[in-house]
Amino acid sequence: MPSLAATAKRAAYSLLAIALILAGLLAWIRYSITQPVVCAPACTGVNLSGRSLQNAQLRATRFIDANLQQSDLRGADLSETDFSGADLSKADLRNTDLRNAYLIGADLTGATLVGADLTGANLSGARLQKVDLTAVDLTKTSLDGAEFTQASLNDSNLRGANLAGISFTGAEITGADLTGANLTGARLSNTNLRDAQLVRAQLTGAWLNLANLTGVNLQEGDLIGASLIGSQLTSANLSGSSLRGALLVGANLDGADLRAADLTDVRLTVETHTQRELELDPVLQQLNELQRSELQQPTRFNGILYDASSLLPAALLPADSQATPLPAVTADEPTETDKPEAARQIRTSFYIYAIRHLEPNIGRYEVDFSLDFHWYEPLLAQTTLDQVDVAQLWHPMPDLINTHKKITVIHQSYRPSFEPGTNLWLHMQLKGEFSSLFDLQHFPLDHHTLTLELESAEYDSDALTFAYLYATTDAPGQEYKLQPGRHVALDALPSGWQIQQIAARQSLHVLPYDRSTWSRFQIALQLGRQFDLLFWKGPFLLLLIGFLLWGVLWQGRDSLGLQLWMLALLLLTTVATHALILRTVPHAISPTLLDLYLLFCYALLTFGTAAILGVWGLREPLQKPTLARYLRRILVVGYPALLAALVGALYWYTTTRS
Amino acid sequence: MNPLSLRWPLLFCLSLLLLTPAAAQATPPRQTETQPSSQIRRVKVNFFVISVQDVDSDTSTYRIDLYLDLYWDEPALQGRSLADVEESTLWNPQIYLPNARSSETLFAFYSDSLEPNTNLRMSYRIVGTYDGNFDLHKFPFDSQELVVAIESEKYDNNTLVFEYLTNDTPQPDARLDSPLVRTVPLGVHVASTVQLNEWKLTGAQSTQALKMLEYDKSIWPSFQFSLAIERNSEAYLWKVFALTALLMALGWSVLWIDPQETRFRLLVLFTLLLATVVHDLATTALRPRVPYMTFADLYFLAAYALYGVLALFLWVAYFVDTLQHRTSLPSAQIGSLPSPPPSNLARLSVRVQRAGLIGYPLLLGVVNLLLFWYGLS
Repeated sequence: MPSLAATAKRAAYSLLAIALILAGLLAWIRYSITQPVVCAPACTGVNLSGRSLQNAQLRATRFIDANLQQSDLRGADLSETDFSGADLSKADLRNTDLRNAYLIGADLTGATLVGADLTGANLSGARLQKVDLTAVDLTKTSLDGAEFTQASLNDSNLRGANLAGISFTGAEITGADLTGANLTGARLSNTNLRDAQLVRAQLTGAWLNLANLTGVNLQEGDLIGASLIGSQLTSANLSGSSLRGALLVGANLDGADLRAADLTDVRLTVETHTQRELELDPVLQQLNELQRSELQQPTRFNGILYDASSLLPAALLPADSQATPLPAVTADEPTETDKPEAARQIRTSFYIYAIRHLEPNIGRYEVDFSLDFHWYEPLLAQTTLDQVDVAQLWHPMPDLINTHKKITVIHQSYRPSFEPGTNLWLHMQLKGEFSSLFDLQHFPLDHHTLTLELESAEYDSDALTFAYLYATTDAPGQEYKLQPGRHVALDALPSGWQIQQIAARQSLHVLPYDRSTWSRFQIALQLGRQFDLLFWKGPFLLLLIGFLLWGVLWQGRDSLGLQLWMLALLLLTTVATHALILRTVPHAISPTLLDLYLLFCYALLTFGTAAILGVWGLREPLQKPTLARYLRRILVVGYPALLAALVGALYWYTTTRS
Repeated sequence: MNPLSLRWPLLFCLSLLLLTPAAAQATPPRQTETQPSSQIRRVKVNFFVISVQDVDSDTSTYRIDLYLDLYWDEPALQGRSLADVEESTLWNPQIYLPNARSSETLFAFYSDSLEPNTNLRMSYRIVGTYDGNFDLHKFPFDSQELVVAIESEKYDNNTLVFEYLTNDTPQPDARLDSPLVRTVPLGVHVASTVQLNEWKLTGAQSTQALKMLEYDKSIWPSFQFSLAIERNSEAYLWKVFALTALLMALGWSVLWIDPQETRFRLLVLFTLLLATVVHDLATTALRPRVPYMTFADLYFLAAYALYGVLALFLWVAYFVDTLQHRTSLPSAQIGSLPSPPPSNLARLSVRVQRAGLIGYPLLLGVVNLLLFWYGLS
């Protein structure tokens, strides 16, 4: 028997060994976190997630598509570094030097950039949700197509920035300087813009629903057609601003300065179109019925300041207000450089005559359709279409993106346009082959979206913007649900399919390879496959096989060989059914619902084999006939219940997934 | 010797001397235009892949839709804008795509270039079907490269050099023996909407190279980009291999049947074999038709080989069992005598049976391990 001393010695050695292993493990973890960046300057696609790179000198390094999640880059020199497509979510980028850095399409969700220098940086298409950019200067930063949902931009400098169409939903932007910024069509719903400077800012068609604009300076701002449902504009400076056609239902303008403001055609009551706009903004969609009814209050205008040049609807003039002509306010005249060059606004409509050769296997379809473009042509300002040479007329050069063949132009002609704000109509009848990725995972209960993606081949978004003909705003990021009869012929679809939804979308599309931005108009048709009994022949056969397996389990008293042979025959039948299904259904690489049924059948047969071998094993080699008899009885009685439960689960899965 | 006797050989030599340069001039191998080295045009190339479709393993072809932008410094535009010059007078690199089976240019136009050291940009949108060289030995665990090569059909390397558009300075030139290969970011050059049913994109490379035509020793600049793709093999694992593995595993059940019931042993084995053949036939459409054996074919072959081993084993077991029964005494003759000790043949029969029950799963495991090690390596 070992002595106490020997036991203690052994325990001490064991503890020492464990301590050494733990120390080694900790050292390895520490090294893996803090090891130097050996890949620089070509770190494309490297994984540096969670690494500490504080104060690192990484100038002009290529971190393209790299994983830098939760990395600590505080104080690092990242000037001219290329982070295109990199994952920088939750990274700590405080006090970093990001001058002239490329962050195109980078994911900066939850990152901290307080104190960072972003002069000349390119953040086009970057995801900046929940990013902290407090007090950061973004005046010389390219932000086309970036997304700032729930970001913190308090006291930041965005003077003169081009932020058209960008989403700031739920962001904190208090005290920020947005003087002269282009926020056309921007999504600013539920943002906190308290005390922000928005002098001469362009907010045409912007969403500012439920936004806090208390004390904001919107002097000479352009808010034409903006949506301000339920927004707080208490003590806001709106002098000289234009709110023509703005939606102010439920807004609070108590104490606002409306001198020289233009409030012509502002909408203050809930009408049919307001209801539609309530459904457009996701922020408003999230409200419950009670919250919506609270919003539909009359606009509050107590104690407003206005003067003789204010264009207020008569109904708005408060009874107690003193219509004292106050001196009209004037802001500095905008210089030429402040005025952005206007892009041609092309109002677009379409009609689909026929969809042919729909091949879900390869996601291809042929579409016979027409496109109608309406715009204002300055050449026709003083003359008529008959008097000009049509060859001299401007052409939007439409280019269908998701085609892979030249589009056949069957016919095109110019006509005078009678749509508001336009004078020329270009009608084009076209035919082309298009492709989209079809997901056959839910076959035969599948539905797919057929798209036609339209851009201009020659004019980027600075020169041309596409908008749906009946759009309420030209701002990008809008989607309109359309009626089939109006835009798609009722007999347009091939047999076996039905239209579920039609939508027109207008958006901005950034090309990362040359950082250009293009206006895109997308037509999306959601189709569903019609129910066909043909597709259920296979599953029925498989269920029958599952049922016949019960018959094999009944044969417990016969020889094992006979039972296994019967099972093998059932397996052969299943494999033959598998072959039949492969011939009937589209050739899909991803498993479909029918594959799930097959898998179910193979699993049942495997279970049957195991059960038969189990019963035989208990009866013969283990010599436990009573137990074998009980097990067989359980199988015979329990199998139908198991089969019913599995079929029920399969049915539930099929219906919920479809 | 009469000097006149030499006139024919002399005339022949003279005519050879006169005709050789003429013949050399009369058969220029490929129309080229060369310029002094100072006038070499450095054409910067940028590209963006809009879509990749129809990756066909049977024919090793694929369809790529791309924007191709070429930038260079055009002397005709010095001090002038594009609007001031006739576009037809501008120099054009006259590119062609050597590995394109067919291609269509949807648009091509000039515009002013804003890239450093260039003033003209030529933009194309080209849709083409390209020939690849797919190695499918490891199908469906294979990776392929989709290459698009660009060359000039008119200008050799004395006139034109292709370069990848980058801010790196100075940019080294490719040499005949060492092409310049660089990894380019997928996020910048390939649309995020590019999704392939059966494949996933894993990387992109650009290559600047010089190519010598052996027949006339002329050297031509070439630029190519390649997209690395990897096949999504999960679906094949379920649809092809899982069932084949199940069928192979069920072969084990044959060995649990009493050796005396050889007819059932064989019936089960034949049914499993038939099921495997039907499965092989049914999944032919999912596998590429190539003149060599892919991993999937190898797997089916392994299944047939295992059934062969099983059949051989059943024959041995049957032979041993029959011998043992022939040599043992009929039970009627034993009467009330104590049971005799098992004979060597009886022991052998039991051992063969046990060896089969233990050996088959081991063999199945080893075969699968080796096959997947080969496939995934």
